[in-house]
Amino acid sequence: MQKNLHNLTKKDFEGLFKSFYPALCSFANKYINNHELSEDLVQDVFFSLWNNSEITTNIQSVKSYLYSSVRNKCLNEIKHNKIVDNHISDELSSISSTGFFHDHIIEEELHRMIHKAIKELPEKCAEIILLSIEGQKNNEIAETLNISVNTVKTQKKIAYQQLRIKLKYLYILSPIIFQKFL
Amino acid sequence: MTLPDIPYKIAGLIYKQMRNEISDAENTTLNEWLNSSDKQTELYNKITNDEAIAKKLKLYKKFNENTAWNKFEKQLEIKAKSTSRSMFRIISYAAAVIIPLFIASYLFLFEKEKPAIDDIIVPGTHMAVLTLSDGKEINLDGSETKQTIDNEQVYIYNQERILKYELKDEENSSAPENNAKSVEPRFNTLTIPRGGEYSIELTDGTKIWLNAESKLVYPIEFTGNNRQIYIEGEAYLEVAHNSVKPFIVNTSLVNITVLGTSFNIRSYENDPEIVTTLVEGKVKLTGISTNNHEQIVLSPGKQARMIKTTKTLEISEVETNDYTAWKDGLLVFNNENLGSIMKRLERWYNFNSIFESEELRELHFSGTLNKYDHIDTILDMISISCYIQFKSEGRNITVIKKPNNK
Repeated sequence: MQKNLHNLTKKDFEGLFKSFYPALCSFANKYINNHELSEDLVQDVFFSLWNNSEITTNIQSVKSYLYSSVRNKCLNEIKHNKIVDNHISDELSSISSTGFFHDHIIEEELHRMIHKAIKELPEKCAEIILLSIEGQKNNEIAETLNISVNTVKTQKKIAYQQLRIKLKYLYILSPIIFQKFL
Repeated sequence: MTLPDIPYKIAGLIYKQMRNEISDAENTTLNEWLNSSDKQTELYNKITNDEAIAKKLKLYKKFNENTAWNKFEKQLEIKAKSTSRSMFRIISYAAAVIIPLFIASYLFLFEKEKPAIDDIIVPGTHMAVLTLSDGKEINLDGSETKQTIDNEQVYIYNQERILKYELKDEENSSAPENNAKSVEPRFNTLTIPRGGEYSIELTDGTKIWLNAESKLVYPIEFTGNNRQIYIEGEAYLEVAHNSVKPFIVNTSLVNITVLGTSFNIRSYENDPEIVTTLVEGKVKLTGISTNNHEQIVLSPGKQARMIKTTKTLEISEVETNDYTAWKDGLLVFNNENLGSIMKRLERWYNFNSIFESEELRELHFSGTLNKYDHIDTILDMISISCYIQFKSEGRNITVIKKPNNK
């Protein structure tokens, strides 16, 4: 079995990759505002992580590594693509700030955990929830997934029950999102 | 919990709160954070808003982790077999920066990234402390402040991040004690800490850019028959022309007399030499040590080095831009040794460097880098071409040899 320098199996690494990939891309996009480039940068960062033996498998240090590396790559990207100016623009100095970095970690980490909770639902169930969050109606979801409208309704109920446990606050205080669930 | 961990911790607490799993103690911590500034509450409301969450989940769907993982797996296989791809990437990276040509290509084969240095070490900013003649201190940060000093006779203000002085009319300050006082030159001191930089325009119109860890002592008004200032550290000067009143820069070992000219002076206490680089005009250097009153006249493009141990002056021709680029936001290293490079970086980024072995100080590096870049970027560039690695811990950065010299 292929292993990386941390002795993580590829399967473990895959779990890590999939859990952080969308959030890191969204995080990168905050800096460079380019989906494709954001994905490339995040791929690079994971590649570096795979080859990096200096990082422990401690999840906090991995998280810090991922967010810091993505940020550094983005800032480099911005600067290398611009002529070095005597006065860096206000915009650049604002997104280079630690405050911007920290605020977006908080945002992305929170949303990543919510996303993860939904992803942990049974596969069909998660798929249905995500489509309904996008605003699709039951019959549209049924059509997209090639299942019956009744199945969509049943799956939504399961999701509803599970997410009530997983995301009570979201359920109680976020009527819009849960209206869409039902 | 160290400072860089805080955002992760806060995200975890908000998530727990949303799941109704937060403990009382954790809730207190979260509320303390929320109440620490209006911005935190604003952020909290923004990211817990259900529409924002729905929008974000939709975006996450676009960044499909399964497709991405398949691509990643393929890349792993390709990169394991062939190295040409990363060579290309690195070459384009290097093209942005001047990197010595002699770098062994092997170094590029695996672009290994060290863990990002914590945000403890950040580039310098506009900051300085102004000490008035009465000993009063004013902190400056480049913002548009205006105030009067010295018994309302002098008005200081920042304009486009340059500290400027304006003298009030003598007639207006008619109090006799003030008049008696103004006969003596009043000296102000501008002190730039590590991690700072500042610019000033003196009352004669001379402009001075001061680099990190530097000090300038100057009179508010040049009353005598010459204009004298004192400089420690690094400064770039554009001296206003005045043939009647020569401008004299005093340093610990050399005095520089100028008529009207632009030049750079680097005179740090812990450097082995005092370096004067002339861009235009003419300057006369006078050694001021007891046994040596040597005088030298510099012409443009020339550089004089006062060697502190021997107290001798050496002259050479240089690319003056290498020595003045710092005032334009660049860090230029022209075949400079790592010992000297790290010393310069320490002053700007405010950290301490440690060399694992002394011989590493003798490695040379050339490159033009942006001084407002993150320290990681700077160190990456150096480590790629110098066959070294950097390890950081708090404010210390250790230079170590790359293991496995393959």
